[in-house]
Amino acid sequence: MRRLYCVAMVLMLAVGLSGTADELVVYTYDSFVAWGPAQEIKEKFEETHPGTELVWIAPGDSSEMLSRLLGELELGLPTADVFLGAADVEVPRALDHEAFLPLEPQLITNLKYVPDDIRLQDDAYVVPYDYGYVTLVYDAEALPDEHVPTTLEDLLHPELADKIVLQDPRTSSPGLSFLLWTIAHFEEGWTDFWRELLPNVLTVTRGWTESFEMFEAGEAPIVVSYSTDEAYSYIVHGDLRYRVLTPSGEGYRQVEYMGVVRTTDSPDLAHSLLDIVLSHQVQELIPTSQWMFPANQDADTPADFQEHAIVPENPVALDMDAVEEKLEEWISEWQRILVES
Amino acid sequence: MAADFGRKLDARRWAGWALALAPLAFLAVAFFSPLWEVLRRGLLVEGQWSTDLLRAVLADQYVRHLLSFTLRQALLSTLLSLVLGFPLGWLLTRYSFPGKRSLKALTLVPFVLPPITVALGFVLFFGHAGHLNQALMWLLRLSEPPIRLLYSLWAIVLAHAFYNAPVVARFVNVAWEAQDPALTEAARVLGAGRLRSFITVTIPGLFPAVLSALALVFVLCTLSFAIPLALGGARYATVEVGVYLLARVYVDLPRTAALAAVVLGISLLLTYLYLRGGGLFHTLSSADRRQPTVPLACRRHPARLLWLGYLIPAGVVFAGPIAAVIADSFLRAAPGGASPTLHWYRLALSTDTSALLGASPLGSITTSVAVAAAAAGGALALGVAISASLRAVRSRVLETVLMAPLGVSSVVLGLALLLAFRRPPLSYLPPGPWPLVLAHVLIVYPFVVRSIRPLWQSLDPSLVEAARTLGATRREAFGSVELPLLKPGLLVAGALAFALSLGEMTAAAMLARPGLNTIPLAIYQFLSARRFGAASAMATVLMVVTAVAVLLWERLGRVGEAAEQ
Amino acid sequence: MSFLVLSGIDKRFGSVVAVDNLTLEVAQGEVVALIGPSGCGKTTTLRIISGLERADAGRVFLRGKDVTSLPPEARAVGLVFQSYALFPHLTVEKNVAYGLRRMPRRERSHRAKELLQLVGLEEHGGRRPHQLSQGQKQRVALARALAPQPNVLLLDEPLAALDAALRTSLRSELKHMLHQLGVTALYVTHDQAEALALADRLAVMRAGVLEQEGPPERVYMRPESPFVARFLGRANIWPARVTEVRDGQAQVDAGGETFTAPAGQMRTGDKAYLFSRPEDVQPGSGIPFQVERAEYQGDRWEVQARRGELEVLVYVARDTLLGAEVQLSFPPSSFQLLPRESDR
Repeated sequence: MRRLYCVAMVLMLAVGLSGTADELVVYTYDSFVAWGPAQEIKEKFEETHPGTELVWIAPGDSSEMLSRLLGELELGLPTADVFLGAADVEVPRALDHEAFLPLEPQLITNLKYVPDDIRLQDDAYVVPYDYGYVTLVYDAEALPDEHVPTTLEDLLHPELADKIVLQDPRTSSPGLSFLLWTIAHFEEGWTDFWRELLPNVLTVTRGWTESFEMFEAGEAPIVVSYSTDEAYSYIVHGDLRYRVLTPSGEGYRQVEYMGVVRTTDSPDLAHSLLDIVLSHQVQELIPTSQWMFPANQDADTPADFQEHAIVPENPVALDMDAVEEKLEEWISEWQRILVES
Repeated sequence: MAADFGRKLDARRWAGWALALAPLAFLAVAFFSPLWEVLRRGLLVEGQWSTDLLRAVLADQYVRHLLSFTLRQALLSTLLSLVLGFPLGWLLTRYSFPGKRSLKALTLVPFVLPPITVALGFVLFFGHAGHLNQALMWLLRLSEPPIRLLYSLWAIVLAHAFYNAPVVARFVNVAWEAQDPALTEAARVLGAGRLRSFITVTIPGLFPAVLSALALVFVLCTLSFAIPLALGGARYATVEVGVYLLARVYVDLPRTAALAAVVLGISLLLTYLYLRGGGLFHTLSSADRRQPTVPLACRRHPARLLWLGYLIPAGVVFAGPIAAVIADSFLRAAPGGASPTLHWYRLALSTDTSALLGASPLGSITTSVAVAAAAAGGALALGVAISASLRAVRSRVLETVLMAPLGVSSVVLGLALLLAFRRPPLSYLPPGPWPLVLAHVLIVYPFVVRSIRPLWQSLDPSLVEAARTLGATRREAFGSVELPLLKPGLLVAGALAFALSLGEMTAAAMLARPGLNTIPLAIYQFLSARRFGAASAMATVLMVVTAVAVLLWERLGRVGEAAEQ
Repeated sequence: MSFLVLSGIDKRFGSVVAVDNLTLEVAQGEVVALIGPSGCGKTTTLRIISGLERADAGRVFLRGKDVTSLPPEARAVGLVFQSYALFPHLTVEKNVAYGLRRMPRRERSHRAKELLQLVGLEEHGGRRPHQLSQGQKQRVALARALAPQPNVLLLDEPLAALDAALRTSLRSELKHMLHQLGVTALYVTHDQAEALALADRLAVMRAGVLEQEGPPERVYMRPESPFVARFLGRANIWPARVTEVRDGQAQVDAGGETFTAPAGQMRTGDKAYLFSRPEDVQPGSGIPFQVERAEYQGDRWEVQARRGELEVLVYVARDTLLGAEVQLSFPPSSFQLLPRESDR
């Protein structure tokens, strides 16, 4: 009995002390690790900085990870050194909580390749690494042509009952983007739209990964995802089974940012990581691993990708100040509609 | 009155209070102070006592929905557990059939089966692309899955019923078997027919046990966490899930604390009602004779085979999900069907840090086992100290204080410890899974106390007296007489504590951070990323580790006994 | 010197008086039987002597030392429990050796075996208590209590759980063993036959009070109260009045008849009880009594007869009981006068 105890104590100390080697911890969202160039970034970083391990922590989608970061900062718990994956609509919240260090642009040499239209006014705190457009994606083999919606209003048709999968705007950035899209499109009437939409929704998942896996497993033929998914379908599956829908030519523009967390011990290493992410080598991987458009304009994108990745004609993006002011109210309202259904 | 009892009795009470000091100190640091911190955040607004936050939280429609949904699903789950479980209890009491003993033993399995495993099994078995639907679609040549249970209230209710019907069955079986058959025989002799004697004699006799079972099931379902979290989606969340989401996912601390205060009130009320009501639910009459049983398969009563109409669906519901978990852990989808593989186990036992888990899978397993061992040890020590103290001091107040964590839900405990580890004295502990160990000790030790106390009570007091007249001091008598006699009970309690800790997910979810991950959390994380193979492998590992640990513990106990001779 | 002295022991439980001003002395090597009906305080007395209970008042002396405030483990008093209280998790030998913890291991085992031999269980050392018969358990309990050579051995109704035949045979063994070992013992029982057989001295208790003590024959033959008289055997007790006292003999009126009895301390006009034992009443000739009930007991008839208000128990030889009338004579030596107050 006592021996069991000693073993347990030793194990516990081992577990506790195991995380103290030299590390650079990065919080990101799960699909960046599962799909994206996380492994290549890690290799390049560890090559450049031998003796430091790059640790990816990604148990959820971006909004959830950001909340976690903010929570840990507030509670004074140990947290990440770098955050990668805050969507533009989430950045104001992070800045309010003073989550990031002011950046030293001279340490991020590749920043010069990033065009102005996706950089924030003063990118003192965060810099973009990729961007995309949130749209609807459907499975052409599972959805008969006559049911394919062409406008957002078409999503309300009764034939689409239980056929749509969405993400939770509280935890997922595409989910949030979709919500903001409907607010931009319907203005005051967005609440009515959602009330009628929810019966057609099979489920609201916590993150994009789950919803997309459900989509690919055939559980629902329509999912909120990115406009590059046709390229994904063509390049990975060899056909155009998954089609992108841009109702009324719209899609919600989403730029993804990364920053250095305020409490980090290694700001220089963190800046180096940001630079690596913006390097040509990594950015060229983004289209076919992340299925987003690279921020580095100088990076090459494959021809197939360029051909099939759709850019909506009328991309929508709400004014950032409006978002900052009203986001909490909108989310509460959305929550209320969700539980009433 | 106290003076009349003599000085000797006072000495005993003093010893009792002294014994209570260590547990009280522990509870003060690990439980009361952290809990206070939570309440403070929820009830103090800018230094002033105020119910503003509470009222705001209770007025919030989302919270109201959480509360009403929690109650609604708990009620439905309880009813469904009764419907599913009562026939099983009946079957076990009245009929004899091959395999009856194993079936009876199987009713104990849900007690040690972690809820997340059940949730996983449900997704794998009842999901739209799950085994049942696939089988039905193939059998009946359908194009759409006929059973659309998931992502609805019914998934949660059915999963709860799976979990709790065996509880009901067990209560019914035990109470029914304890009924004196002479009661119904007397009714029959007095003229009541079969049905009437059943309704007027048997059922009322079962009433207390059934009510007791339903009350327990209701409490368990109200405070359920893993199943609604895994099966509910955004629409269906219980209050426990709500606190977790607010604390760890949306990170809204003030509202978290307020909602936690509400949940605390609910769990205290439920526990109080259950414990108070427990006094009413005693099995009446102990029989000299056992209830007669009749064989199930009998040529003269072919109608009995109608039971198959219950057994087959019940078997599907109970066995299907678990079988699916184990099966899927060995299968890998490939074009043209699934093929057997050990790939998932290699993944489940790998030492590479997984970004999804924030730790390595093997690390999660090691953490779980280490935490469970430490928690079991701590719970045993604490449980024995508290039992000893409560034996000497008969004070309702002391008992309530020492058993207080029983009435606090795991999510609130987790939150309290999460906040408490920021400050001294707990922040002085070395890095490690201490928050989780403490949380598990607090969750588990009341069960240890509840199983040791009656055992200790039933020990012949003259044994200790005999030891003392033979020269042993009170402490020596405890060590050489009482402790050895309590050992079998302690071993069982320890094994139970270990199993409960291994499968506990609520506090683990609240306290998780990179490097501190447990097996149930890993299962949940794999499940929500829809990496079913990995989740199944982890779940099977968990079931195996739990079974091995329980068996090992018992074996150790028997070896120890043999060595003493 | 008295080995064990109880002086003025009082004990109450709430409002119930368990022991009332008890004073008792036991000499070294003496076996004293503490006897009385259930609830008379005898078990409580034992527990106070052993230290398991604390007296409210009074002192306990062992070998001249005041042990009143010492805990049980410091008193070296052995106690044989009514339920034996054998440790179920230890073998018989380990049970017996339990009180020898201070001894080195080899000596311990040797002594335990020695005692098992004494009680005739040397072959059962490796067994567990649940494997023994009641009689065997009793012997183990005895051996265990004796092993550490206690100052005093207390026995709490040790034979109560045995059946009648076993009880009688173990009784004599026990007596022999106690005397052989020279043990000072205080033996509690409610069975008067047992007490009479085993004790060097009897102490009769009632409602917490010591009523009478002395050698068994004297207490049996010369009880000082009707209670003691009845408790130790069958007794005929008639309310009576002394009409005349002369030369140490008294004329006594009882139930309309006049009897002669030794006067003792009685004086003319005193109220008394006229007490006699059935075995001292002589059947055959004398005053006629009507037989009300006759119980065949194998070796004799126990007859209950009546004459007016007088009820008498008498033993009649097996072959001689005939009909409904029996003649009885009461020699003066068969009688004793016991004091009577109106409320006794």
